[in-house]
Amino acid sequence: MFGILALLVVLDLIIPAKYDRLPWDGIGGFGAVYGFVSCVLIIVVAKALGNALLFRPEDYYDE
Amino acid sequence: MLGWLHPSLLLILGALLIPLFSERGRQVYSLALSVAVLGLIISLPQGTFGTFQFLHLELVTGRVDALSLVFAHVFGIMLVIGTIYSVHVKEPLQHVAAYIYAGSALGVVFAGDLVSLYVFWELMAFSSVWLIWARGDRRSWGAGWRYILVHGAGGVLLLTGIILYYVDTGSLAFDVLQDTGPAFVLILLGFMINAAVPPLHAWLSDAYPEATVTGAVFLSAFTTKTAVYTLIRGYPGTELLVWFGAVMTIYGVVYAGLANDIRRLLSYHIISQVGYMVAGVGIGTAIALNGSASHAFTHILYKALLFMGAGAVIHMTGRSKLTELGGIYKYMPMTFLLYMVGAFSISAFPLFSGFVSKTMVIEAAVADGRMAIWMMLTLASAGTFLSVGLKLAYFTFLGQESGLRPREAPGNMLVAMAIAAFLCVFIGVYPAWLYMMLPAPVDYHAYTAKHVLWELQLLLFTGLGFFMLLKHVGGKRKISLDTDWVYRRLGPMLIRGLMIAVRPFPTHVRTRTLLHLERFVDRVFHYHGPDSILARSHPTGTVAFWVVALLMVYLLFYLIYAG
Repeated sequence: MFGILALLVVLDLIIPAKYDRLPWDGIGGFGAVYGFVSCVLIIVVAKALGNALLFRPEDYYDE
Repeated sequence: MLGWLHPSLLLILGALLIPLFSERGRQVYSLALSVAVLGLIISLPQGTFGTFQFLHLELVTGRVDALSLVFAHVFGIMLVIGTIYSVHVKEPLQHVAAYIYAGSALGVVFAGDLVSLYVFWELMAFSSVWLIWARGDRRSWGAGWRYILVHGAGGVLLLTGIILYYVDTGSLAFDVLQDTGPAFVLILLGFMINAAVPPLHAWLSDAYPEATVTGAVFLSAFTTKTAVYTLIRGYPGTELLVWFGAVMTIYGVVYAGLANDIRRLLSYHIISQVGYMVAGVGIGTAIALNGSASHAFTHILYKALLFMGAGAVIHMTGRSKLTELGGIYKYMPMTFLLYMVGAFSISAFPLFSGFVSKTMVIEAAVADGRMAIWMMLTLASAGTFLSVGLKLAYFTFLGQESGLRPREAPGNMLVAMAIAAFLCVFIGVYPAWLYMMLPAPVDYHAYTAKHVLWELQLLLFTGLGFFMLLKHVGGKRKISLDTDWVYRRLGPMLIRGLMIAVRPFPTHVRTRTLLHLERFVDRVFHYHGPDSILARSHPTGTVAFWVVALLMVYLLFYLIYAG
């Protein structure tokens, strides 16, 4: 599995970018970084929101 | 034109005959009817049909063009799939409700004027609520009421907007709406409620998980996508929608991250996915609108597939929470595999349907030079795979052994899921089939090497993050507050507070105050009611009347429900 991850990044580094529309279009492996950071960010933010503000007991709305 | 038959008419009238059949006969009849409706939709020629005069208004019930046909086709396909999935359900009520609901969604899509649109719009709400109530427990009863109240309020906004729009422009034609101020905004709000745009979205994540197993499959398909259709038709290029849509994609993803009920998780992902479509409508370019329409098409199929998979699990195990499920892939391998096809499709894996539609919306954002929107939509893409493809799949089917030993889902459910799964892969592999249905010619190629590489990196490294944080991503035995708190808690709290606050006052003071209130309402009716002085010249009377009426219904509801 890690091999596949590494292969993807290496391929992305080798194959030249087709576009130059976004600032990071030329950076190989950026998709990997963006995916990983997004994933961690969503988990952390959701968790923090849940614990700090949103979580209630399951019977909260039941009288 | 003679010989033109409205698909809604066939379906709705056909639905009314369902209770007449015996169990076996009903199964055959339902299947035949759904296939006949799909066939009718496929055979529709483009043009304007079913026009008639009502009072002084020219109504068009059959506007058939490329845009309405994209939605009608997938609605028709979904009707057949939903019928197969629910063919074992014995209560005729659910079948009748589902067919009237689907028929009225088709009615909205073919409506060429705002009045027929409104009629079908309301019919959708009032037929679909039975799919929630049919669950027959206390929670679904309450959720159904909240569902119908929110849609009732949305309907009032829509109707008010339509009346004002007619007064302002003298036209009821449903095309790109002119920005005439209040009317424009009110109709938009009505559409946005049905599209589940936050903060007006909570009816969806509140009610869908409480619906019957089969009902939720129908629900997931029609209401929000009908709203997307009306937005594409009426509000292309409305800048506000770009931002609402982008926020929606992330909002849904974050709440899905908190969800424990599997269908609530999927419900939040309807909100997230519809966000892409809403953003596309806001961008408003040809490729963006194509993206929204095509994403609605693929979304209906993969989301129904996901709801069918989750529904099959609930049907076979009687459980719906991640914390109570786990390790059942061994017993329901077909359900697991078919669910995963839906999960890969919604996550936009190459060769699956979401890849050829979602990336079109994202491409539209780039082509329009919207970097921030691109970043938000891409972030949400990672989040989609995170909760649908990884979290739900892992904690339901794999993960910790729950001790459950369910049997595989029944044959009809598997067949329905297999058809949806086939279409998800078919569209992913052969997008030209979908693209040629779209309203504008498509000049977009999803399958470039860079594109595929980008998407695979994004998704697989999301997977890496998931497994690294595996201990922290499981379901929690909690519910999460959402904007429905306002009418489930804050409203009743205020009323109860008011009741306590007035208790110390002597009876005669309370009676006098009530009398004053009554007089105030009388005055509102006198000046603003339907027959009042002000209403003769301007429809604001009707507005005020309905607003007051609605408020009273709300009050009554809470007094009964909370009391």
